[in-house]
Amino acid sequence: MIRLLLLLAALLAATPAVAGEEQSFFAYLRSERPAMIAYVPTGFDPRVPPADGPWPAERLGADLAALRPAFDGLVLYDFRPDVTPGILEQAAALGYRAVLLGVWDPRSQAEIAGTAELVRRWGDRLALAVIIGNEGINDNRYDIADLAHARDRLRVLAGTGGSVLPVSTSEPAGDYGWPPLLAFGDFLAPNIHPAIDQASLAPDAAVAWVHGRAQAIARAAGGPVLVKETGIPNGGGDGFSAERQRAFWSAWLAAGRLAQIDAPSIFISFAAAFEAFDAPWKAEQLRDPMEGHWGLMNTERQPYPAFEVWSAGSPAR
Amino acid sequence: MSTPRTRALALSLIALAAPVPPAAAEPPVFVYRDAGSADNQGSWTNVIPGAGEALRVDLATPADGGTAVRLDFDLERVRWAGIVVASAPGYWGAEPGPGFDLAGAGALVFRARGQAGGERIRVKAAVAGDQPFGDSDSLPLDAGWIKLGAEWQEYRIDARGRDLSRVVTPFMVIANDKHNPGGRITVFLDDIRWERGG
Repeated sequence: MIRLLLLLAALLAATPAVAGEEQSFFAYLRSERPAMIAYVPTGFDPRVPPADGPWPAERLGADLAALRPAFDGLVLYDFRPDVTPGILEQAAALGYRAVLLGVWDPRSQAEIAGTAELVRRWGDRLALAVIIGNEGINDNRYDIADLAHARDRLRVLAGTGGSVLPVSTSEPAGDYGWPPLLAFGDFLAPNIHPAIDQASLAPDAAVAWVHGRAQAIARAAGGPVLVKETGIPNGGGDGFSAERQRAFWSAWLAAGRLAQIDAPSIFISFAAAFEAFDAPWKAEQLRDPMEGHWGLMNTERQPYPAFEVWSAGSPAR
Repeated sequence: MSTPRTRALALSLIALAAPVPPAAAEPPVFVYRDAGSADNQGSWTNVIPGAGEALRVDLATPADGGTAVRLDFDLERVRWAGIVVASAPGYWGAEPGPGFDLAGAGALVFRARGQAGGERIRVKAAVAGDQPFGDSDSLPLDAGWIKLGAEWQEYRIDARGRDLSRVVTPFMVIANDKHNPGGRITVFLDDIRWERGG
């Protein structure tokens, strides 16, 4: 037993604490004008096997530098040893404040271990949280028990203990009536897409609809909510255009980035945008042209008008 | 079904695995009892995501000496499909319209089986809480994904504590290609009812 305690103490001593006190990620969400963007590197295609060596740092740096005038936080979806450590290196160097890390496959011990290593390495410089899985219950890639196992394993490996490292998962908003999902995690991170569920709504009404869905989830859960994915595509379907995308994000930011619901511990963050760059591979993979057009920039890092809306609201301005 | 039961039904507790409530004192409200039954409430009209060519619905398939609902999903044509039973044909609660008062209901109960066994469906109710005249509860009741057997089994979704004072979508069933990679599935439903009390 003594040996076990010594081992535990040594482990804790070697582990940097996550920045600040508990839930620095929540402090970031509550700060003035947080701005997160879902990010997959330009040119990246997850269907292509990793090349030898890491993803070029200059390309990651160029992506994140292009986004930085509008955003100071990133939403990631997976851990790839050739890509993700480089993203955090560049993000820290460019002054990003927060990263929502992602574990795509909760059954992957390598992803969990890699993510834990990032938490240990960057937890004192970036406000971090982890989303385990993304719509994988609906997509039949894993079940709720896998999420719980991954969360527990992640916390052990990250050495953060307790609930210091906020952890959640993401599913479509319409699935949050399922009690096990509503109860999972330190906060809830639903994907709420008017372009999919309420495509006919005008931008103002679409924003109101997303807010209403988020409020319903927050009240039912009695805890924090981050709307992890929302947005309007800039093309790829009837009625989707760069102008409509701009109007949506303009109305979105006008409605505010934080809402307090009932008790102080229940808040909703509207600080995340979906997504950074157009992704043609996604349209092919999902057999839906719209899926390639969520970007606030195109694949050449040229901004759509919606990017200017976020940029104009940035503290950097 | 109005026919007598000759075999025991396995009972599956969905969601919170709540204790089985005592027998309801009030009669249940049926969404589907038998084809043509005067007890049936609601309209099987709201096919989603829209076109409906990927889902065929038969409300009078012979079963157990009575009838059941048969759903044929073609998930090779679409990624997902389903149907919502509405309080009026085609109604979603976007404008004023009828709703059921199911306040005090303890559970949504139904029987289901797959043609081959192994089919996976998701059953929800009160899914129009986002509409101005929709369901009074803002989040759906949701059983999560259910793997069906080839034999009839009874399922129960706990509804205690939910605001069911106005229900415009008393039943919904969906299936998707990811949970049914074979593409085409056939599912049977029967005795869909809201039990009072509990």
